[in-house]
Amino acid sequence: MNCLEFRRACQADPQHLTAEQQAHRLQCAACNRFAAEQLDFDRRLASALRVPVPEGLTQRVIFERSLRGRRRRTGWLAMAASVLVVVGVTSVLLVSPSGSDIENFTAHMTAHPVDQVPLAEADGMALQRVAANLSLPAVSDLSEVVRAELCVVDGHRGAHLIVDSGEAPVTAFVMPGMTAEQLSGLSEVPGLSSQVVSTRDGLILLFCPDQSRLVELGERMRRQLGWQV
Amino acid sequence: MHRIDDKGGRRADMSSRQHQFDAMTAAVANDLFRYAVWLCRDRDLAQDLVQETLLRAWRFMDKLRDSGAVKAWLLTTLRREHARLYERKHLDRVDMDMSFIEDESGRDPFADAERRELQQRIAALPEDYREPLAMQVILGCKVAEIAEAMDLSESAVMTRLFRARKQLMDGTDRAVESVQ
Repeated sequence: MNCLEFRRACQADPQHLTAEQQAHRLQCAACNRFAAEQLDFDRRLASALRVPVPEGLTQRVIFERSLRGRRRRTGWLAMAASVLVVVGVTSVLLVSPSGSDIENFTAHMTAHPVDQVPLAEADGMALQRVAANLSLPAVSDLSEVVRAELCVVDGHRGAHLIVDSGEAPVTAFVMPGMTAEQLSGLSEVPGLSSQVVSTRDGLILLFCPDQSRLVELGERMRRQLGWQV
Repeated sequence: MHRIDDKGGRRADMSSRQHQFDAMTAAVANDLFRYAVWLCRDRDLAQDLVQETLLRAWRFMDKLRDSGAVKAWLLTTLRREHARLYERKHLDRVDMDMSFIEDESGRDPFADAERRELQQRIAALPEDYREPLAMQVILGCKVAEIAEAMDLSESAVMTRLFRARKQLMDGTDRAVESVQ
């Protein structure tokens, strides 16, 4: 290998020199300096190309993956979704989402996407089973609920639901016995809007990239549950 | 009993698939975004490209996890998505618009100025040169991986990388010509 060949190769790909090129570098002081210059320039190039990344990019992709799975199945599920779920009692207060527990809920959504439950379980019986397991006298007519599964988040048992609200499916957690105080001091979740409906008998937490429907849906679910203000 | 076992197996497999996807996404999403930004020079578009690319990867996860060529597959897919987008929307390219970079100032004004100048020179490179350079420097791709992603020969990639770096360095002739 001569110096010209070395420098052509080194300038094209300074990080991946072959054994032969490394040997030439060790033998030739001028090419050694040239290679050092190229590596230094490579570091400056890397710094220049390293543009800032939007916050929460990874979480948004993972969340979108779980939503798309749901969308593909909504046609089949629409028939199975005419029953719903749930009832309780007492007062409501709308609060802003906060407290580190919310991160645990979003982590739960990612780790246990309900849309991946085998289809055989995603029927009306599954919804009734969830309600029965939570000692909630089940019910009525929130027909957009297309998935339901029991879940445990931070030691609290509840229902993990998927609500098909059209463009943007909503993930909802119905958590009997959980209080607003247990959701204190929390940061926002990038890429996700959330809404917490708190009653004396439990919480309803809703997550969706689109904030616009969450307040209305939370209120409607509260009414369906019979959890009153 | 069999049904339960099958169901348990499917769940375990799905869970493993999800974890692999999540790990892959966490590992590559940021650098893929940086590459996409330099490809399309639009941050919003770059986010869409990364999302579409990774969601396609999710559909083919079973094949991908055994292929050993995930990086090249992601890059090829992202480039195709980008090309499709331009076909569909007939987007205009604004070559010297640097607003996509959203540069952050550091502690050293001299280094900041030098970085910005270099960014402008990178943005001004012909796309044929800028793209393999971004793959190489941002994603650590080897020449063979770039060649596969861009459907070029390795020697063609070497030539493009050589010319890209040569154009970017001060006094573009000092590298090779000095020994000729």
